[in-house]
Amino acid sequence: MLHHESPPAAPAGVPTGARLLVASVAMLVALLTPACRPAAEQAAAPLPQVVVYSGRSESLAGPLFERLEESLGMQIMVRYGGTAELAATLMEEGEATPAHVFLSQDAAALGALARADLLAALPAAVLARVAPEFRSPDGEWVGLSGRARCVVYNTERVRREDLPASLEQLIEPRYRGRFGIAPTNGSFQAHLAVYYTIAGRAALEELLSGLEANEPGRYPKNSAIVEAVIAGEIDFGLVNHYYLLRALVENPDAPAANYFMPSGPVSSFVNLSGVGVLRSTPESLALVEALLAESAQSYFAEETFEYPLSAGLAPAAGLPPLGDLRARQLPFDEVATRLEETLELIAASGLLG
Amino acid sequence: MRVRVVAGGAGRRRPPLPVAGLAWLAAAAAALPPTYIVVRAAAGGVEALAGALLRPGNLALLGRSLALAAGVLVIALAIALPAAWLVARTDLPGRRLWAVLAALPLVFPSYVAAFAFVSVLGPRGALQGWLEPLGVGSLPAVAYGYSGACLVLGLFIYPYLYLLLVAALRGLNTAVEESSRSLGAGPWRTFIAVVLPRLRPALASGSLLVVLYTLSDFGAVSIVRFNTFTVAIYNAYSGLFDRTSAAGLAAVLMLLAFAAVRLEAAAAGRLRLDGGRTPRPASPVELGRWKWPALIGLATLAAANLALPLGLILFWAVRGRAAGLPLGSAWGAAANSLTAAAAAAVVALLLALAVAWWKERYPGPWATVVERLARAGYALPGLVIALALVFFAARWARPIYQSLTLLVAAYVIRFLPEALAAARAALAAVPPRLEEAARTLGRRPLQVLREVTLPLMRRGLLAGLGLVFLTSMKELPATLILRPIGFDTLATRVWGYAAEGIYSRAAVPALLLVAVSALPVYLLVIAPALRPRAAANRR
Amino acid sequence: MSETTRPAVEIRRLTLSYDAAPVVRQVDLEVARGSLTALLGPSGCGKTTLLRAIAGFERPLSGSITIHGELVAAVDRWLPPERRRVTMVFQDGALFPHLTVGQNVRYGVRRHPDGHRMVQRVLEMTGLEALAERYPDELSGGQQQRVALARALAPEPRVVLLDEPFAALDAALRHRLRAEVRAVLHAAGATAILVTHDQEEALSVADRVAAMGQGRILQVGAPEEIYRRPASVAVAEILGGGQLVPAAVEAGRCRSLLGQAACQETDGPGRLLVRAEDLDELPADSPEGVDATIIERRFFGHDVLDSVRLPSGEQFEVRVMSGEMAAVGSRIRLALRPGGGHLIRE
Repeated sequence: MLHHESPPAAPAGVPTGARLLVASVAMLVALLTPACRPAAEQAAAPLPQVVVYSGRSESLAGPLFERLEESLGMQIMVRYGGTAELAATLMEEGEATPAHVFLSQDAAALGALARADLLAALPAAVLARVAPEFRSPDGEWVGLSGRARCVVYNTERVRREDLPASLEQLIEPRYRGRFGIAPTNGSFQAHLAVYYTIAGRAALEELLSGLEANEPGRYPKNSAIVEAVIAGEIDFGLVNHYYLLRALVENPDAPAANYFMPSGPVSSFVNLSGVGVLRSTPESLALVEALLAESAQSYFAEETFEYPLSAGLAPAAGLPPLGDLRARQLPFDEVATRLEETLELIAASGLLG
Repeated sequence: MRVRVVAGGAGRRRPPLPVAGLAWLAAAAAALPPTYIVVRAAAGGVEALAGALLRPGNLALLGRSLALAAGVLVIALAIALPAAWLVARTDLPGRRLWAVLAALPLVFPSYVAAFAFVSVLGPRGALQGWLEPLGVGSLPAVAYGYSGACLVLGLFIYPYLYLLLVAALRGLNTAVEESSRSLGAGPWRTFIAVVLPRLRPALASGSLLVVLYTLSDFGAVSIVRFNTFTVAIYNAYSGLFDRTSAAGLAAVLMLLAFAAVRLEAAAAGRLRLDGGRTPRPASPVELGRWKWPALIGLATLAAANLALPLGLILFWAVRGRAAGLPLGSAWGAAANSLTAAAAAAVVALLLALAVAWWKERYPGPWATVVERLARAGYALPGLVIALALVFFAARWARPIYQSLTLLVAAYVIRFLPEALAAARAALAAVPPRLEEAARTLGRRPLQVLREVTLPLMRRGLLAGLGLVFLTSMKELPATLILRPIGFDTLATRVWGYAAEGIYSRAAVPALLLVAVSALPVYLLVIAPALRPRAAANRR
Repeated sequence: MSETTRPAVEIRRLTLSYDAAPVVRQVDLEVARGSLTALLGPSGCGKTTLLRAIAGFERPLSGSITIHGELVAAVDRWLPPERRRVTMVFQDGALFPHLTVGQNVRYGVRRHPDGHRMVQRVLEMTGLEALAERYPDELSGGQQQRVALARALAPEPRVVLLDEPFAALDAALRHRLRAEVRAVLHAAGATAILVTHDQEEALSVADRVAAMGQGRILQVGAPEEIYRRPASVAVAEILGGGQLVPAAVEAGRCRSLLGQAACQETDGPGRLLVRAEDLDELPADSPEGVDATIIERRFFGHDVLDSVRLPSGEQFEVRVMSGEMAAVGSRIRLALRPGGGHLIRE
């Protein structure tokens, strides 16, 4: 009599080795199927494609890219991330990068990529659209939009003529406890790094200790400063120019205005976001040109309230023209080298505490 | 007669081919980041490297990283040990609920947790706002700096320890404890003298995870403004765009990690085997009036690391709705997150099982090297691992570059150590004698693995699956760089909006992240861990 | 020698080592079919390693192991454990906690067409039928060991190996279980090798005892033989009990400080192994033996163990039937019983 003994039952529901193996193999096969391959390499899409690495966030740049997709008739595939991380990625990818265009939040990243010989030279026609101080001297990248440092103040609590005329005046006793800064914010730090480059280390140390002694309100971000000014917690604060304009969209009656300090070596440093080309194709160059064209530039002016850097275009109403700002533009590489020391000095001054 | 731990095969024989193959695959994967680091660091030349490494600022930052790791470990132990014991061994009312709640904080990305902490408990945060009418102008800056970093990280990553401890406590042979009690030792003494030593593998593995994760963290420490060594690495990338010194700093981190792994191996001791005698499950310890402090403690814990961040997210959502802003949906991103995380969990566990089994049953220098290499990488920030994969894949594996496969590979490499810790702890519960017995009864090694070892490892393996799943769900830096274009995960969504201050739209993906993560955690980790050991071993 | 009369296990010049230190040296051993052989020795003597080598968990450095005529281990050949049809009962049972008693016992007969009958038989033999649906953690220590034995016997293996199977049990249980295990093994007709450090166990359970020390087999023989006539001091120590007294043989008489007696050994020096049961207490005025004083007495009910001391200071233990005893403290004459004592020559 044949009697087959059943094997000892493994507890039901347990992923036994074999089942686990089969499940994983199936999953790996599924992952490798075409549906999951990088979209950029799928079977020939009918539209021409451009791959963009964007250090500007999706909420900011997304709508612009959608607009451009339609007007240019091409497929724009965007990878959103942090500017520094994307720049590092591009440097690792080197020649093998799938990206055509890099949209950077600041100039330092573009400078680094240019130094690594990763950026293609832009055609003269493109370069001509932007003033020389807002593009790379070697023609490898151009600025798209600018962010200027300025003061936002509460119009009911302080008069324009009483505001400090320059950075150095912030340490005057009459302003004690009346203003706010965001010492951990990148723009604030970059501004001070530029100050260091122009005025020297000693001047920066003096400025920082004076600032700290003047008991400024410390806020985590620029938007918080604007909220505080509107609420009347502080009289004024150091921010980037567009924050107030964005806040006014939601709150048109807020008693606040922008003020650009008229004197001092670099009271209104303009940090720019820009674009560089990694792989020169007709599509990528078309995209860059489109970003400098009126439609995209007015997007920057009207939607994000930044300064359009393409020559001849005016910023949003209420902003002084770029040329009027006390802003010396420096080679951004130099600024970058000062940044670490600046951070240390800021930390040492106690402003972060 | 000292019985050698090796079993399942005569002494020096090699493991079965599939196991060895998987283990080698794991080793190759784990070797990618260190290889990348060495190549990058060497590319700049020795002088530049030395200059970058020996800058006094960097040494100070290293000290801060170590101090942070120590502080976080203390807090994590102080929370995890009592919590695990209360949940696994006592008659605490509602312990199933508490068991889940205690593990849940792991679902929050560290930067979300830090942000919540700072927003609410900061000197001029929400709490201060509520207290302002009482005359509180500003709170002490506990939420920032060293104290903030220790608290945030300690409160949110102790579950690594906690999960391993719960699994271990349920699996212990309690006869020894019972004899200790009958010999007159009180519960405290029994715990310290009898239970604690036998928790060594779980304690050691969990502590290692906590320490290495703390060393690798960037999101939380940058928000609480505590500069650590990782910040130096990020600054090298972002301020100076200097990959050489960044790699050099990362190499230092790896060396630290190797030292930590070595320490852990010594601390864990030889695998404590409970012998082949099948134990009786423990009867729960009665808390009596101690249950009130216990409940209050657990409730405070949940308030700090669950209610606080959840509350903040809900606040974002409510405020956004009230302002008429769209909340958006994130189901697509949720599906993506789920797929990638689930795949990573399965693969990571397969590899970890192979490596752990090889190391324990066929010990030798190679097995040890593979295991240590796999675990040391845990100290590397996600960004470095991502760049390592970019380096290799963009050049030599174009077809899978920026594909889901590579993303899953990144998760596996990043989180393999968690799976290894769980697999190792699980294997500790299977004495080699059981496998030998099965061999004498006619089973080949792979059959033994399938019929005896795996079923007995089930609880630990599920814990490992749960851990890797959870941490993959919320991974950010590697995801941003390696994902296929357009492949959004919940983590990238949250980041995308929160970074721009559009909190109302960050709320929904954040809530989904918590919700989607919580259920698998319960099923995979908590439920099995709570069933009595004997019942859990059979169905 | 025909197939069925060949020994079940033949070990020839087997050497095993851990990390270059030899643990088993040049061991020769034969185990007859259907017999129960005990490997007796102190901890560290290599007996467990030898057992594991027979099972297939150690590889020989040199030498060979043959089971039922099949060469299973040699320097260039090694059959894995699952193919040897050699099962093992471990010290702590090593039962599979996730399987019932029945499933545990069935484990080794999975594919056998006759499996059901084999399992039933073994469950009956060990008295476990009622427990078939229970899980190991619900059983007592003794029951667990019975299950372990049943599991090892169910597949009708060529050899059953037992590694100190009673060591973890309490004394009373040990006694009972020993007898049961012996009965079951005989009933099953199994060839068994039992490793133990307990000489009482080895002597009472086994058909043949192999005394092992420092990696070598020192003597193999029937229990009585090896107990009464150990070939060397080392074996005597393994078997335990008794004392060694220097002695010399001259012209058919054996002299020692216990007096002299006739013996048939050749002339020359040696050591006399004297056990408590080899000695007798004679009245103080007896012509035989030597003077001694009883200094201590342990009363066991049916017999008595006295400690006696010679004037020169040596002490001996004497086993006396109760009822014939002199009082403690009194002087007696200590003498060897006729045929008592065993001379060991080294």
